[in-house]
Amino acid sequence: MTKKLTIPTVAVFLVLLTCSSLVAQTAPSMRIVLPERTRLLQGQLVDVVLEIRNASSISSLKVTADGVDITSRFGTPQSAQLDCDATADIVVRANLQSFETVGNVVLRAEGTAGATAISDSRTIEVRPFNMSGRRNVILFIGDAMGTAYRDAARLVSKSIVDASGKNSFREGFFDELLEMDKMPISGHVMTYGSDSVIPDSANTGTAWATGNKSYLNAVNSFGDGTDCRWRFNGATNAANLPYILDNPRVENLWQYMKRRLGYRTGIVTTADVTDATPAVEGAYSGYRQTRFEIARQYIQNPMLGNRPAFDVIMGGGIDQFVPAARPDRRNLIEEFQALGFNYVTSATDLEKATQAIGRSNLLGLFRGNAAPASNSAGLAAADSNMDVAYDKLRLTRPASEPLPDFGGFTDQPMLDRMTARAIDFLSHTAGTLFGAANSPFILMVEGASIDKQSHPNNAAGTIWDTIELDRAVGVARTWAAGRNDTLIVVTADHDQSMSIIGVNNVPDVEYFDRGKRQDFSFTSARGQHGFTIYGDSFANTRASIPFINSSDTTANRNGVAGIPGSFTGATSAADPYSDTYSTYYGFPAYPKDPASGYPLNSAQPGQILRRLAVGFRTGDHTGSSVPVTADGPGAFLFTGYMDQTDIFFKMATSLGGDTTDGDKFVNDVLKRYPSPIGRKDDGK
Amino acid sequence: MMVSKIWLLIVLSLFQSTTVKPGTELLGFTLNQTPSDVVAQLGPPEGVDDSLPNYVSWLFKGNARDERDYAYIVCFRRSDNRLVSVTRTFEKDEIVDHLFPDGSFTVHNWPSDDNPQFSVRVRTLSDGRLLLAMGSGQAGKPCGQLVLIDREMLPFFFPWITKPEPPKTL
Repeated sequence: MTKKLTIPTVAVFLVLLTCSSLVAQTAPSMRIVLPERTRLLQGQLVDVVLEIRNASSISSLKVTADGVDITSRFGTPQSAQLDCDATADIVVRANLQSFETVGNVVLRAEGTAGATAISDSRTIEVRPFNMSGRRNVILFIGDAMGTAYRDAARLVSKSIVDASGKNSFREGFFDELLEMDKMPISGHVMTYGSDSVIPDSANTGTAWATGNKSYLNAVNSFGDGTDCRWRFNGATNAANLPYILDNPRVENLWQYMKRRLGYRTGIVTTADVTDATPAVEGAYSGYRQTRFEIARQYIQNPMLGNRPAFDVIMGGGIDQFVPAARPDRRNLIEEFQALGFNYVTSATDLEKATQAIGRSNLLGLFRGNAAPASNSAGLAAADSNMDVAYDKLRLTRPASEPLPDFGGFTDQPMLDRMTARAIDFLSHTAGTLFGAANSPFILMVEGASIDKQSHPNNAAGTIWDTIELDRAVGVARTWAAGRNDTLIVVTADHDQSMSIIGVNNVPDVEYFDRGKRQDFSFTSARGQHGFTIYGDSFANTRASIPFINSSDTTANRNGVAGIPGSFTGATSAADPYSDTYSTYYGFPAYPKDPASGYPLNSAQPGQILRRLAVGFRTGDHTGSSVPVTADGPGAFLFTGYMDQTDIFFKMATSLGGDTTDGDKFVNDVLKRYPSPIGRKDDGK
Repeated sequence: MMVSKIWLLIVLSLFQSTTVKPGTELLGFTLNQTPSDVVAQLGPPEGVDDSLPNYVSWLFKGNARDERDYAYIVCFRRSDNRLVSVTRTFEKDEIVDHLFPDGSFTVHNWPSDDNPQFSVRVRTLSDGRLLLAMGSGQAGKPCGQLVLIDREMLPFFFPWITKPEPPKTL
């Protein structure tokens, strides 16, 4: 017989359900603040933090690692307010811990809160690190340099037409490929963050620098229960700095190698040196915009007992270091100099910088603002990124792109020279009576404005910055050729939305004319909207511009699919397609500046100019996988599809492991099988 | 009708440059708006952060050109979907003195009055709302961010700000 639920039974059931729900909400709980898939190298430092919720006391706390009691490593439990609610909480910390046992280490924490037993566990994969290596690693990051960006750099810089009219890109083949194309090993990298498909430079940098993923804007730190104070209502300011810096930290490869093996370390960037990509090599913060704190950690690094994180620092960002802007009024530049750093602020001075006993290091800050000052949040001064390659070369910007303003910093070095000087300083240490000692090093070089120019869809700015990065790769490959001790890796942190859409013939007179424009506007329920088309639009179809259909024929529905062609309205009789772009026919053709070696973006007398046409879909990052190329010992590890965190472990394996068998196989293959056209067998 | 006009100000300031004084549109948020109300007036958010157990944030870019910052962050409490705070971040620091007339606000310093490293003007509005000028403790000092917040949420998000005086009739 089926028993029916009576009303009293239902009422009791509902009461019990409500009570159990309330109990679940207020019951004490414990969480080890580490990701589910935490991976560490032997000896890599990490903060182990326990968050106990809905409890005002904890007793019988016991923490074990593979059964070994490590409770004594933890500090006194501290009361806390987690999750921005009214309940009492507790935090217990063991900062800068490490695990030497290789394999899966089960971390288990348990205790009693009130009368409730609570516990949590986490399995940490600890990987071996061989301490015997003395190899170097140079990691190149093209910020946002996805596949299309490499392609654009190749199509512009390797489609050079000489005086006789011969194009170095003919019949679909290049006479010479990019430096990064010539690297023998390639793979693909997935760049997802721990909280989103679309990442940023901070959490992607955390991935390759530490081997672990984190949330957007995180610099080598994991999320914790006090993040609600600043992440979720945007109140990122000096008053919340304690809650931004309390996030559990995980050591990056630069500090790991310096701390354990005395490696020399460096960062070179065209951004402000405290921007996210360089910051992940030298600082630890829950939020990438804590620039003053990041600069401070460069000189007082928490993983190194407050010693400097780097031996070489180069880029923009003077403001973050000077007392006029810093709330603590410290002069970090003078402090670096007192610690033996040469300080330079121009390309000229960079070339003159030399090592001497007690002065083996280099600080180069090549850009600042006119009046350094803190922003109202008290965490940073305004960005002062270096000017982009296109502007440093004094090329004329296309009509839709902003004109340069060097702010008085007219002698900024190119990235290849910054890379060359960084290698000079890192690979040697002055200080012995017998000359400079050879030192192993790990260096990160970033082409930052590939991304920064891509956000506003400035095609010329982003493409020439990619070419600049490639030339820097060439400097490193030339230095490393024949040494057999230097791994070079070139990759991106994430992608952006540029794509290759064709070849464009618009004449200079319209490409550069800022006075010639068409403004389009329309009204929606959300107000007035509009976009502007300049003469360079057919070489740069910005995200704001609807697809430009070059045909207004009946077959294309009279151009209804997009903005019809003939924008310029002045078709040249000699070149009837000068007012459109061509999707299917023709190759780019650029003249070259013999002085700089860079392609020129304007027609030269007697020479053809056909520009590459690109388009953008958004002004933001994308979730597409990005290419990675590698050369040198251990390069073979960078094949196939991989997660971005794997880059950390692959670099570590090359630095410390025996990769002889794999390296020999790669060299045999390279010798035995035909090289791609355009990859000269020049010993590189 | 007044609320509708304020919503129009919000939309205008969010999506195009206007002569609306910076941050004025925040006064139109009663903090009684539901998520549906917000969508109806502002459209869907460009981003949602729901990784916290107790709160959900909606992110609106508007005309913000900085790829990192959002012009508006609208924060809801999960338990009752109540709008608890609206944060307006400016592209560049702005003068917001028009929102803090003389005598209408108190100043709070962190970490202390003796050693002020960060200051906030706090104005009490009607219906339990507070308006905060972050990093701007006096008239004439530019402000990068305004926060409109339910008074009850102050201890959770800004515990260092002493509870201000009860609201006065404006």
